[in-house]
Amino acid sequence: MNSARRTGDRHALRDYALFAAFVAPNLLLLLLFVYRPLVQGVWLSFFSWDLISPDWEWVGLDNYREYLTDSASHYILRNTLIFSVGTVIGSMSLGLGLALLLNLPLRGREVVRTILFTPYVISGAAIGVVWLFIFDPRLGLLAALLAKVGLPSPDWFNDPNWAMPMVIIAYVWKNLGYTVVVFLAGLQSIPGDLYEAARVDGAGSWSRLRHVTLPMLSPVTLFLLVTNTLSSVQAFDMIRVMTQGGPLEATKTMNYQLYEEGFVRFHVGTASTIATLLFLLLLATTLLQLRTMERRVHYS
Amino acid sequence: MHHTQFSNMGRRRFIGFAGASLAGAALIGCTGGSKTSAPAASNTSGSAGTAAAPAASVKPASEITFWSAAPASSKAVDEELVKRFQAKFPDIKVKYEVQGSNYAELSDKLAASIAAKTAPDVAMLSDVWWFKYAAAKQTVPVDDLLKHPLLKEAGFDQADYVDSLMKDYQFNGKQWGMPYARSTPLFYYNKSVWQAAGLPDRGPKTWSEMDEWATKIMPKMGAGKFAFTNGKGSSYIAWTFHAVIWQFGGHYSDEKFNLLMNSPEGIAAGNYVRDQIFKMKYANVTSASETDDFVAGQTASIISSTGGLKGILDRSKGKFEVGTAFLPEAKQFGCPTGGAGLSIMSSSSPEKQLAAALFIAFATSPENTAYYSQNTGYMPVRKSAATGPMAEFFKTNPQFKTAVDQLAKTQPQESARVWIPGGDAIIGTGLERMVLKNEDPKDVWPDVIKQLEKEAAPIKKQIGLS
Repeated sequence: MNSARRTGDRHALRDYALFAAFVAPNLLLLLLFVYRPLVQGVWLSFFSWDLISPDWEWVGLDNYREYLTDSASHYILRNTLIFSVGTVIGSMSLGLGLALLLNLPLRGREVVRTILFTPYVISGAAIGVVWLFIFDPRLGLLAALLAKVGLPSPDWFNDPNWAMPMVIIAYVWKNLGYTVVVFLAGLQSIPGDLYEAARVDGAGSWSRLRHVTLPMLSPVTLFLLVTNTLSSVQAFDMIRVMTQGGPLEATKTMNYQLYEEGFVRFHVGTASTIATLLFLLLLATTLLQLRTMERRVHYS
Repeated sequence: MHHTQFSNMGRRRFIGFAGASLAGAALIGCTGGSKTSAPAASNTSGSAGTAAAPAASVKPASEITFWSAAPASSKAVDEELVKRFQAKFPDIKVKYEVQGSNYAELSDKLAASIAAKTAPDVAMLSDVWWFKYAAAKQTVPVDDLLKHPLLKEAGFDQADYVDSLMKDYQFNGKQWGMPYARSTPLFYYNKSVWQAAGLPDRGPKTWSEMDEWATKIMPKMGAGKFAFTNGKGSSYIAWTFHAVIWQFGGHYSDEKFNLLMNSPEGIAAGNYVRDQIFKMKYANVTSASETDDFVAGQTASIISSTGGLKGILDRSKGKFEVGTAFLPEAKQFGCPTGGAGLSIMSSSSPEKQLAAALFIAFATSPENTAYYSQNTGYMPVRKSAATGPMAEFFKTNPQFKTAVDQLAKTQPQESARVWIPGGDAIIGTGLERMVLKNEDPKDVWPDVIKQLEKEAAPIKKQIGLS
């Protein structure tokens, strides 16, 4: 009995050593390149520093106080929320629709899938340039198409009310491929016999979607909701190219403001404050999404 | 059952982990590099503060690195200048690198490189960027470097540089960079439209003349097109409006960072630009690029950088003839300089700094600045270039001559736009309120001043002004 336990211990120990050997290299890299800068980023938010000179000044919570009481920050937070909600809803609903369509046994769907996924892997800056041309209300492609049906083009770039929809459309288009592919994978892992059974029970196509497809997709939906929310808040490249946060700061999101504070105004403390707040905000949002949604998620 | 339970947990954890790691990435992506390398900054600037002029005994280094943003597709032009330098100074290798596609991106990378101790020796810093680097002692004054005997041997003549272009890089009695890709705003007009409207073949002398001409131009333009188009609010208008506020007798600010735009003159200038758009309705603000609008015939005239001159001429070829003119006057003439100069980094050794000075002097020799100018549209930075190597070129390209003639009348820009970090965008957003929302400058300028004052405080402290 005793010796058996010792052998067991030895086994456990050996397992543990093996485990450590496997994870150590990755863990080390994570600590060095992910967690250390993360902690340092938070640390920087307590300083006043201009990025290029050696003068640092401890300012405690001043950066937070100043940021949170500035009315400009509230406007930018509002922009961030609109952009995120708009892009997440846009990508998820269009993504689901396209995935359902591409899951049908249509001819040439492989080609369509590839085309749909392509924008996701192209650089955002390059895509931004293309959309600049498409949206140009005087010279652009969209204006020409609208003119064909007798509609005037909105002044996408100079009207603060249209600029945000514009960047949302461009961003959704770029990231749609990712959402479609994940939804498709989810659809294809739904066992066919569930549909058989539903059909036998007399369920129509709408019922099958409502009672079989959507519940079976719920884990994938939750995953996409979380990852889409997180990546939307980090959008930068296309905003930088298309609007530089304008007009009248209508497309300035927290992530864009972070860049501007750090690299244009040389306030590293404020930039780090924004990054820290963004981190906390995302953490809270993610936890909330997991908590509230998980109850409704149906794992097979 | 047990299996499903396990995979259930696995998925939950997976989602949780994906969430946490992505959220963290936002934080890291943005602040990662900076702190790590902060000590490096202190090392370099320690030596910067005490860096003295290289003695005559200092020999130039055998290799330097030159960072350019290659504005207006000038990469090949830069490369030709580097090639010419190598032919003359085979012992000093110049590593030429394009860093970023515009001045802001170059500054982003330069700031990161300073932290990472990988800064170049020569960096292209534009009007709105150089001051911050000088204030933080990351660049060195070039005055003493330019006095080195080797430069005299190479035929360097500081007095031959265009005065207003030199003044732009002066602060505290020192020269913090040398003019290189320098531009000014210029009035461009479509000669076919001018002719159709029965106007003389020249630009308007004054804005009131433009207002009058616009009534003749507009009927020739057609629906949705304009007689005059302003540059983009976010990136351009604070520069071209600098000219307008001067023309109306106002100022953005003075050298002591006193903000002066909320004066009767500053308000009149703002109101005039508003009226062109909302009252007289002959002007608009471009959506993407005023030069694109101009070349496509969407507008009859623009005020835009001379840096785009060559591009505009090339792209309008076969469509219409382009005329160039001085900016219109109001109470008086006013026109700022702009574009970029070359600065030398304080982290470089005295040998590298000397080699850098040699390179800059060579790249801005009358012949070389003329070559650069003819192939980009940027201004020749040497007075003698206009009468010497540029003279022949002017005969076939009269549009260039207007730009160079106007150069003599330009002034360096004021602190609010070029010395306050982010000042350009703050003024630009204020101007957007006037030209996009038709807001009264009386309401806008106080907000702009409030923001500028906040941003001015740290830089004033850094240079010991407060």
